[in-house]
Amino acid sequence: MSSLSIGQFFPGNSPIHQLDARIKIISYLILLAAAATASGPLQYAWIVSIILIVVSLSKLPQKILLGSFRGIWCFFAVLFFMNAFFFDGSGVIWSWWIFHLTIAGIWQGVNVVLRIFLIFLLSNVLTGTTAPIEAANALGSLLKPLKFFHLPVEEAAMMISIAFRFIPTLSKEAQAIQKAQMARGAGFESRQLKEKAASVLPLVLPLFLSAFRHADALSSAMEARCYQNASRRTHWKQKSLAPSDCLVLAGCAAICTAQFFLPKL
Amino acid sequence: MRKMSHIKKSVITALCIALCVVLPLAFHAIPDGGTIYSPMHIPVLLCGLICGAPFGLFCGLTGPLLSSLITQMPPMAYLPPMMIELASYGCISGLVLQVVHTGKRTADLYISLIIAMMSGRVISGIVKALIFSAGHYSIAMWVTGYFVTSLPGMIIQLILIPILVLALEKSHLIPVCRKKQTE
Repeated sequence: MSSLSIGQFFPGNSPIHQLDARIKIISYLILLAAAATASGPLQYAWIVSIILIVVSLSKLPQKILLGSFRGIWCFFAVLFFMNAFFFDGSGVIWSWWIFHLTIAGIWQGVNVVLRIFLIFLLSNVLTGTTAPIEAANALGSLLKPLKFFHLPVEEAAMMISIAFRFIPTLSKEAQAIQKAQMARGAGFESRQLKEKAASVLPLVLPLFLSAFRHADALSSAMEARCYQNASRRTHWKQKSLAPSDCLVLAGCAAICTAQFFLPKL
Repeated sequence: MRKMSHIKKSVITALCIALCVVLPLAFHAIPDGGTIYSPMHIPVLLCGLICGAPFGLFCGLTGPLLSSLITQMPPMAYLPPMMIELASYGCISGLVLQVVHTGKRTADLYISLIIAMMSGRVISGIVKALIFSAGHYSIAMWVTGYFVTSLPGMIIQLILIPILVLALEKSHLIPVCRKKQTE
């Protein structure tokens, strides 16, 4: 828990960092659709080269970009081998019992693994270059059309931004409570189910009580300052789209369209 | 019940969303804590019981999403069914608590909790069988996934959540139920 970096955000001055968060989210979704629908070597070469350009422009360290892959490389390996050995297809290379290694299976495995890898990479670029608060505000702004259905979009955005602010405080508090209870002899490391269950109460009860104390103080402060309705509130920093933001959005749309016209081979 | 202000409900919902991110991390200190105890269920059920159905629904939808974005737990592939499951817990616990009036606060809490936990599992199973794992999902998988593996988590939730609600009421961090005051 001590290594938790909220949202994996890595501050920087790269061109991707400087883009508007709303544009980043829309571009992410466009590139995600392009990566998810790619098929054939030519289309993959196109989208992989585009994503590699985006990654190099983001100037994110390898730790942020590939850190999460270390824990799930097994998942990728299993996914590849399951497809390679069990996919029904022509061109059998090797066969034993229920296992049939085929060219079509290997291509299917590469296809699935590459697609998921690209989606992970894009997600890491988005979360690595966008501050959580910016992302929450952008989400609130992008969800504004839902107001036509009388959904409280601003209130939802307000709750998400408060949640983001609570996370570091609560994680520090949880750590402190855990250490305090361990000092008092709580057996978090026990392998026995009964002891494991007994170790939950001394961690959760104080954490919830102290968290609710924070919530009580914050809501009292908001009420004392006559906080009324999230929809009537204005923002200190009004973000407007720069020409470069529109250019990036148009570029992403063009990339996706170009991929559609590339032959699948 | 003495009414809780809308702002307080919003702040408590935000807090429960934050706990959906922090609690699973804290439970990783306990071996296999994340899978055994389903720690994300606790703040969502609590939010539904304290703030009501709409807030519980929002907490259930947003909690796992935020946790997945921040800590990559749960993985994106498991996220949609989990969001539906948790949203049902939050929504149903709030709805049932509004209509159940046995005269005893603890009984009300237990009835709401059990109904929410059962119907959330049923809804999630139906959604998995029809949409997310259509054709690959069986009753045996549902029973194993939702009742056998998570049995310790269910027991912990049934013990912990009523204690938490009563402790919060006792410390006046949430309004005390009037029925309980008149008893």
